[in-house]
Amino acid sequence: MSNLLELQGVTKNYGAVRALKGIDLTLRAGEVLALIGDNGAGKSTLIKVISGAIVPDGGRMLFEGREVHVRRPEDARALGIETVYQDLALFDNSDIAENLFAGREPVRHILGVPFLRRAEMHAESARILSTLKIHIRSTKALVKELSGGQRQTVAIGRAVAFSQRIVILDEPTAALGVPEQEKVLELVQQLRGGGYSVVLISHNLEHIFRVSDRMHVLRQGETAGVLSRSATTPEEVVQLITGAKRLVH
Amino acid sequence: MTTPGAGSDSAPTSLAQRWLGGRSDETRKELVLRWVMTNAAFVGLVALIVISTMLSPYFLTEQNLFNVLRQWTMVGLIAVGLTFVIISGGIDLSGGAILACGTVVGALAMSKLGAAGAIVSVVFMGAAFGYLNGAVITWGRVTPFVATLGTMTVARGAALMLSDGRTVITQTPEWFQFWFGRGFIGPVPAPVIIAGLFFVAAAIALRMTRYGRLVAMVGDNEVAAYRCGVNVPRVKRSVYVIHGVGAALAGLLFLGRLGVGEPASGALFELNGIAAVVIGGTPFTGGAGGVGLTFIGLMVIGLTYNILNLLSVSPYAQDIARGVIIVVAVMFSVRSIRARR
Repeated sequence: MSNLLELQGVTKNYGAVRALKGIDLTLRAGEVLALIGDNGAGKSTLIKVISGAIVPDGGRMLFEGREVHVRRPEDARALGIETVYQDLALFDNSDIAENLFAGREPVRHILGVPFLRRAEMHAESARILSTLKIHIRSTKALVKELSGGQRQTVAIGRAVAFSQRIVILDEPTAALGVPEQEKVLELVQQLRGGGYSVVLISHNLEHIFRVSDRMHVLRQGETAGVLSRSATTPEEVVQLITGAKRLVH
Repeated sequence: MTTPGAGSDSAPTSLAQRWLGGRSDETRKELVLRWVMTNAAFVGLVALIVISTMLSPYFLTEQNLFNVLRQWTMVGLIAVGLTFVIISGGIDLSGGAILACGTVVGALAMSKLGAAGAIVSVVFMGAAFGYLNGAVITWGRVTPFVATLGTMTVARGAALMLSDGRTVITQTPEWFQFWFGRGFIGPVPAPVIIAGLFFVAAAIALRMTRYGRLVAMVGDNEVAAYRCGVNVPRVKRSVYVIHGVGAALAGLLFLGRLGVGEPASGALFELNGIAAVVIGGTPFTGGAGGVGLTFIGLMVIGLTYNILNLLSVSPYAQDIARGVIIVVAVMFSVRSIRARR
């Protein structure tokens, strides 16, 4: 498989705190890469770099072998990278269709004024939800009326519906009930089946071993090891997370 | 109340549910109750009209109602701008002062630039004050309350300085007096038409255009809006400009009606405007609401004043009544589950 996204020596400091100390990361086309590490290992910072939410202090980012500069979320979006943030970045007072289309609403210009195509938004939203096998009664329901699992599926749906290449999921199963977790894992597998590359942050090793192809373990802002699922065990991963073992590469 | 989201996967079953947009696990009684709570301001307005009609024979007459509308055009124009500002998660206290400065600038410009020049100057002045608010908030990172408090003081000071603290007397042409002051088209006062057009344009912008979504997104979840590629600071500046223009238009209506620039005019209009927005049901927390709701809120305030006047209730007691209404209205708006746009 070819490398779709490559990070080389990415660093990020917050004042005296060195959040990322030179990370090399590779994401191949059509794989699920799990990003693993203890709290504060740098997982969230790293995906924020990829998604353009923060600008790294140093390092390079290559997309399909070509160097790219991602300084804003729009830059990442333009590359086909969509992110589902941990703190469910939804608009509570807006309805499902408005959330799915947030920031890229379809419009019709009348006298130069961009009028929303609401009917199209709702029809298209219903189609997106049904492709993803998400069952929500009406796309006119407000997001704050939804359950935690439904909210998460809307957030993922938004990323998936518009991503061309890469979907980044930050703890998508946290704070969900077991049936809802299953639903989300199913979505991840569906994504890989659809040819997307997925970066999955999770604390749940069982989930990771079920859906990921490779695992990138971070510890204290550095890479502790990169593992292939078929060639490792949960015990080894735990040793890497805790620092009991280290694979220099 | 049942837990939101529970059982919402099943299809609606009854006609009441389809009409009132309820969930399948609600009884008809709960649905009606919820509709009443959600549309508290509208229900309150209808109740107010019914009770007032019974209390006074003068209340439900064409002349009285259009009088009320005309009296509240100025506060209404400020309230429209405030609706944008509050939906975006901000607040603006400078409306009354911008109005006052507008009357003075308009009166002074009238003799030198003519009425058309005066209109352009005043609107430009309003936009400039609004932009100042937005710039201080976005670039200066000052909270909206403090930033607009500052602009309020500056605009009031500018009005007093330009007018030397006195009423500015000026001559206004007939057509200006007609459209901004005393004219009628049929039974409808011309200023009501101007304010009405502003309301309608604002309602269309908020409900039907992409811009309305941007304002709501910024007020609902600023971080998410940024992540969705919204230029958050620009949207914020724009709502304060709209507010400034509305307040300036209100100043022109004052000038048209009274024919003078008055540095003391518009006092507390911003608070009545905020009250109209909040009574209508637009939540203070932003992210939802609409101009239609603000119109309902404005009418609740206006008709309350009106009926208390018709009944010759003392103005001091009126203030108490108004205060109580605002607080009760907010209690309902907090309880309402679905704030509509």
